[in-house]
Amino acid sequence: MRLWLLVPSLAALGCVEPPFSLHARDNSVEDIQRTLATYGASEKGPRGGGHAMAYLVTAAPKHLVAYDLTDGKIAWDVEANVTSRLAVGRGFVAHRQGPTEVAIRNGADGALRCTARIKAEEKFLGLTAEDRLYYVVQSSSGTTRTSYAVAISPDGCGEVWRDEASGSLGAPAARGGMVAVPYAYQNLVLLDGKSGAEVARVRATDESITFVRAEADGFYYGANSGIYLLDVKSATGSKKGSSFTAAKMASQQIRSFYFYDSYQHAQADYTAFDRNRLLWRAEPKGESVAFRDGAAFLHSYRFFFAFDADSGAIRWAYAHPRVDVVGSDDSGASIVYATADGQLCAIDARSGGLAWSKKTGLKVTGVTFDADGFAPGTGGQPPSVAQTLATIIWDPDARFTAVKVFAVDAMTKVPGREVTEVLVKVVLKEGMAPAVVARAAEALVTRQDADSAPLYREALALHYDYLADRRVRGVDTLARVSAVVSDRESSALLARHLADPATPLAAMKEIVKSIVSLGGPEAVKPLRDLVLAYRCDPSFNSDPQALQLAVDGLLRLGGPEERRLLVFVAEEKRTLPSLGAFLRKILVESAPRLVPKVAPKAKPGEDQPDTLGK
Amino acid sequence: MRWLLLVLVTGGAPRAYADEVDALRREIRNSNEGKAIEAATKLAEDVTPGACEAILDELAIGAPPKVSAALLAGLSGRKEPRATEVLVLYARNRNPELRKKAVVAIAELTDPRVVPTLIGALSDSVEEVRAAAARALAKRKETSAEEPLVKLLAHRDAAAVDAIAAIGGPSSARRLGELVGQIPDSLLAATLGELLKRPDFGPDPIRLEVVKAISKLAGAEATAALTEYVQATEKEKTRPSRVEAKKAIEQRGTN
Repeated sequence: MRLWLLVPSLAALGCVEPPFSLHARDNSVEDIQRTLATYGASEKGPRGGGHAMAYLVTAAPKHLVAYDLTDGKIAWDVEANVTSRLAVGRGFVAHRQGPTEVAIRNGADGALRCTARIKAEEKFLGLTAEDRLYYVVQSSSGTTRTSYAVAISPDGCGEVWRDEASGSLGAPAARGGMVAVPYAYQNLVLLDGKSGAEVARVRATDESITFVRAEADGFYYGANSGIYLLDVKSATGSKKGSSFTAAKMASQQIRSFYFYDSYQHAQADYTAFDRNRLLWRAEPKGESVAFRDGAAFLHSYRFFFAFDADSGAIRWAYAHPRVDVVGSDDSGASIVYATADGQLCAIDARSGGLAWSKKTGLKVTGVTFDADGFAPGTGGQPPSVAQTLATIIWDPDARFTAVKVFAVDAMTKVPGREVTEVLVKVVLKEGMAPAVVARAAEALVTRQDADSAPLYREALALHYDYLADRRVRGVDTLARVSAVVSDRESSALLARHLADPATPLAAMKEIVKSIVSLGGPEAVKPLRDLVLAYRCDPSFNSDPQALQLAVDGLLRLGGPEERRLLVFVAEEKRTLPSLGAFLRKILVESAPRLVPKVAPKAKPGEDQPDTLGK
Repeated sequence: MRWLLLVLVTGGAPRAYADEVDALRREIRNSNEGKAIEAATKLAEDVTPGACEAILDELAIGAPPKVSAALLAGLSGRKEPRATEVLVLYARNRNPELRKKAVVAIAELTDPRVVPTLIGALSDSVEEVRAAAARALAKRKETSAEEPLVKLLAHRDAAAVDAIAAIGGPSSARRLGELVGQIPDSLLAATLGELLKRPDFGPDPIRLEVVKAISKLAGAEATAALTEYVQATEKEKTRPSRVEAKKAIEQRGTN
């Protein structure tokens, strides 16, 4: 069917080519302007036109359950083999059913209205609904890929139109009588919902287009770098020239997705994307686009983070207890989500307080919300951001390393001793993921919280103790932190760790650096003891850096007596070759006019400087 | 300064002797480690004060671990108070063999730093070092080490058995009773049995409690401990602790 040929007015608009033609005009200001003016805006509120709803898909048994969020009760529950995300249209809902059908159900009671057949060889890419149901399928023959955008009637599932495209189409989105379909990774094709005729096309020149999303106030499209608002500026095709924005996050640790890749067949169903994604609402702002209230939200497993989209500063964090969240949405006023054990919740988008919660007892595998504007309240006083981030960091679930690193990163932007205390604990705690510890260590060093020096000293006072079952971690980090906050009081504690056989070799380097950096006369003895005790110890052969740093420090901090000691160490034949060579070099460099002469032969005992323990 | 002191000391000694020590010291500094160890061993065997001073000086300037080990062995039994400083440092050396030798050597000294060093060595990561410290504390009858030694036993370190037996008092006995079920019965039975062997351990009500604690333990070690106690107290047949031990043995026999 080629209904577009029967619509002369569209031809008059300039779109004389068939839909998805390789020769169609793109990035035409005129086309886009006319299209935006022709197709009306969507109404705000749920697409279904009634109460805010959550559609829950359960696995055992396979059911589709409509939950009325406004009334707080199950509206209907029907047996259904749902194999795709759900689309909500006016008065109906639709989904793929099994492998070869698209099913349309009554919005009021879930009763099956009709089904449309999908060919067995066709891959289902996704669906969307408004007054009609639109879906995209793809078939392959050899290296040739042909895709179809299809519209069917919600009443009898009769096909209204079917557009063929050579190449790939992505999952569609619809609003105001217009259907937007990603095409060939580079284009966004705008179709008339009634006829399927192409009315405009955006061709991205900087990057690909992997998704399109319809909201009440516009279409948004893009890939993983950010979002574009469909407006007349889209005709530039470029990121710079378009209305584009991207959310800055507190950490790059978590790979965030603005939307799922609509070219991926697997993404037509509920997937891991639904558990790890960015939640956002956007709106036109001035000449461009901006995230609503300047906020974006990260959902990762059972954790939510709200952050300032411009600065990345964390606004709030929320940890749902124990059970994974299977899906979530930004309703505008709230972040709504459903858990695997059937709990439905709403977090106030501004405060992060839990505003609403209901238990259904269902075993949920996927959820689609139709809850635009759902605002059950502001919730109680949420716990402090630092407190919630700490809860996330201490969560025993080993899957959450990336989220924990994200939480640590987010913490660095929260001032106060409370956060420093958590970071210190992370560094010291046994069993923490190395990535989390490393990030906490960096955070401690960079935040330079001098007020927390007593906290560092308290931690530094702890040593390995077999009888107390105590292992000590993070001494290297504490040494670095003590140095950056210039805490001279920690010098003695650092010296004790330097002399502790349980201190790892790698940590010794940082301790020596810090002792030298803190300086003072008290720094000389521990360095001297270290050098004399281990200058001949082959266990330092593989990594003599701690000793090299120590002799360098002694040279800088010590007086003539230390220099004499170093000359002795440099020339004494049992000194490790790597240490001796390094020492001779720095002795020469530091005092070119005092090049150490080879000491005259002397009796043992006459040639040595002040020694170990002095 | 130590080297000046050494010069003075060796200057006052007979020339031939001083030459011999100097020769050994030169050998100790030989880059051939085998020869250095040999010389260090010879110096360690020399019991004269001059040799001791030379050992301390060589340790103080640092030497390869094997040479240091030979030198530290020479300090054992010398009761040289000037050695404390060096030995305290070697008791914290990264090389466990050196720590062990330092612990053995320092145990002979009376310096107030000695006991904290030995108790600290009970927390060492290496079992041999802990054992050396436990033995040293037992030899010194260091009752302040009771609590850490009981902790050592709670960590199933066999070295604690003899040490607690040597110095444990009523409080140790009580603490040991709390370890029933936490450590192997054999280890606990051996410790309590050793305590009972000590003539100064008591009074008898405490012994009675120890016998009762052993009675609760399973295994041949517990039976052996009770049997040995009954045999050791042959002359005091009415002593309640002995009566209890005998009763326990009979019960174990019937069971």
